Amino acid sequence: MPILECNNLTKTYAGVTALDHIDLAIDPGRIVGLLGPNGSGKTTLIKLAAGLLQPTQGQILIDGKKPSPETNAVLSYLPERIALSQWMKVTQVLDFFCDFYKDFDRAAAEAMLAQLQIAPNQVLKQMSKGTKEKVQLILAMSRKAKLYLLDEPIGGVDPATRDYILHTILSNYNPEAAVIISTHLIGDVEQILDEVVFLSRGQIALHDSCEAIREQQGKSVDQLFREVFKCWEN
Amino acid sequence: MLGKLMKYELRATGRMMLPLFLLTLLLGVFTRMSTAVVQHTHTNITESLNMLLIFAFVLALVGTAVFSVVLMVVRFRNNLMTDEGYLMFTLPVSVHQLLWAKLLVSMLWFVAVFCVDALAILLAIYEDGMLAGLPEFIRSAFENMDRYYAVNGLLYMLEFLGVLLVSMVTACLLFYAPISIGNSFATHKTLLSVVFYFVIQTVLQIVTVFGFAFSARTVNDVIMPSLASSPTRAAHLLFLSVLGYSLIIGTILYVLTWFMLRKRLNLQ
Amino acid sequence: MSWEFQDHLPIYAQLMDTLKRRIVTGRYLPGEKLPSVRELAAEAGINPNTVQRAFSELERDGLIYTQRATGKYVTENEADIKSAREALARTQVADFLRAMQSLGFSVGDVIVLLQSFKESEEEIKHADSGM
Repeated sequence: MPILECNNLTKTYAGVTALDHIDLAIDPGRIVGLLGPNGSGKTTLIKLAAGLLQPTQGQILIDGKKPSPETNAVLSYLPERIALSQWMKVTQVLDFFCDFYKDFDRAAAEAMLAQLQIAPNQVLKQMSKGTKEKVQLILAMSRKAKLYLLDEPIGGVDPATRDYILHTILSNYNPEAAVIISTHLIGDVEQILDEVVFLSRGQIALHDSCEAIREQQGKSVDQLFREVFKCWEN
Repeated sequence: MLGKLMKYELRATGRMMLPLFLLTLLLGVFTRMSTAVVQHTHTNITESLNMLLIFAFVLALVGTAVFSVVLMVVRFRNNLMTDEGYLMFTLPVSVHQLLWAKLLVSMLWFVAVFCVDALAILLAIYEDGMLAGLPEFIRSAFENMDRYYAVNGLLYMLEFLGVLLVSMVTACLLFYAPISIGNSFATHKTLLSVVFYFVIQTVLQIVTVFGFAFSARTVNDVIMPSLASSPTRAAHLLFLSVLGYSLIIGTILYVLTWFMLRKRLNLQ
Repeated sequence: MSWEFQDHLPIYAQLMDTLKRRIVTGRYLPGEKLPSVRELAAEAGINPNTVQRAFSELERDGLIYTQRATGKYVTENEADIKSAREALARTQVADFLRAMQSLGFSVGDVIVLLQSFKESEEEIKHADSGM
């Protein structure tokens, strides 16, 4: 059964159609890239999956169920923003995650924090934005979830951290879980993806496996993306 | 899960409330000490300092109460309607649980403010033997109520408490509802929240006025006679109607808030 | 640090190539246990399903075999490894000749060029040993 399923999923606000009758199915064990320019509906799709928005039409299912507290328990969501309470210390945030998520692996989180030399007693407010993002990522990847939704996980970080993030995603690979990465830094992420979904103006322009794209088109996904979404005409 | 939410709610708000409580209590103690000093040495300096201290103390008493209300509103907005909302609304908890965690903890702080202020005042005016005389004081208060007003003091207290608690919840919701409505819009969220606050207040005023006008007949035919015959019954009726009114308003506001957060959430 | 891959070829094919080279050059010895899918994916910075596909293809080619519950191992069949090495060499030569052809060199021209390379190499060696 697909981990994520969209059936005729539509979302409109204030007359704008952010998502236009999307049909999508993501199977477990897949690492999927959600690619598209700003305004393509990427963030809307992720928010719908996370239960932060309600569909206008159609449905979205996580592991066969509509978004609810039950699906939240098996969904690990990494938002684009820093959503953690800034007054908390790292240990307190770990306590929080342990309290609410049964599948949270505290030891794994602590190991990764140590690897990145993030002091457990530091207050979040005193950290740089990059460090806070790392903390949030570590928390998301320390969950043994069925679906990981990562919204722009490598956007604002330096290349070394980028490598670390991608490495972490791969090391946590679970054939029963799916990972959806929304990004526009395709070149960096392409190698770890199974499939890509190109979103354009609320519709799916392309949904294919990366290897198929390379075999059939003879180009990388990055190059194909640039062609499909070219901003100017020659 | 509700318990856990409340735990974090208490921690997040306690870090601000507890220092305030400490300050208020300390000022109470200092006031008491300063009063004693003034009684011994009547100089201009000590008298002015004493005045200053009393002023600060009263400020603390009132300030703590005001702050608890402000904190309750700000906490709701910051924790649910800003970036933190991305975490809170993706937790494996229902919107009901999120709301009740905040409502119950807010209530707790309101009650705490009352207790701390009362304690601080007691400390400020403490005379020897006051503490020993306290049980006697309470007992005689209840006796008086029983004797003069033919009323069961305990029942009164409970009804009063019930009305108080429901009113507190409703008071919180009076802020939560417009904030959640304001959030559902794409822009000018704060402005719209303020606007809706006044809209709701106005609607409530109108409803209340109509309600009174409507029930004028019932008041005349039912309540007035019973007031004459049995003041106790009238008092109970009064309490119950205030309670009922609060409950209805509270329920409407709760449903409105829940709906906005569950179906019209629009985090930016 | 993840491995570099070229844009226009499927990654599984490029991985297969790298693994074949490691096997024929003896970096992975006959009978040696290969890293697990997950380990290799993390090390190379690529998708585990891609690694799995590369492994499956290599197994089909007979260069590796699976031992259930323990993992994948390099074949012990030296002949298979030798022929894989030869196949890789031939591909390398074919690519080289194609590149030379685009410069306008026929196969005969290339042989002459190689001969002169060989002679100058021997001259240098001779000169070195004479010193």
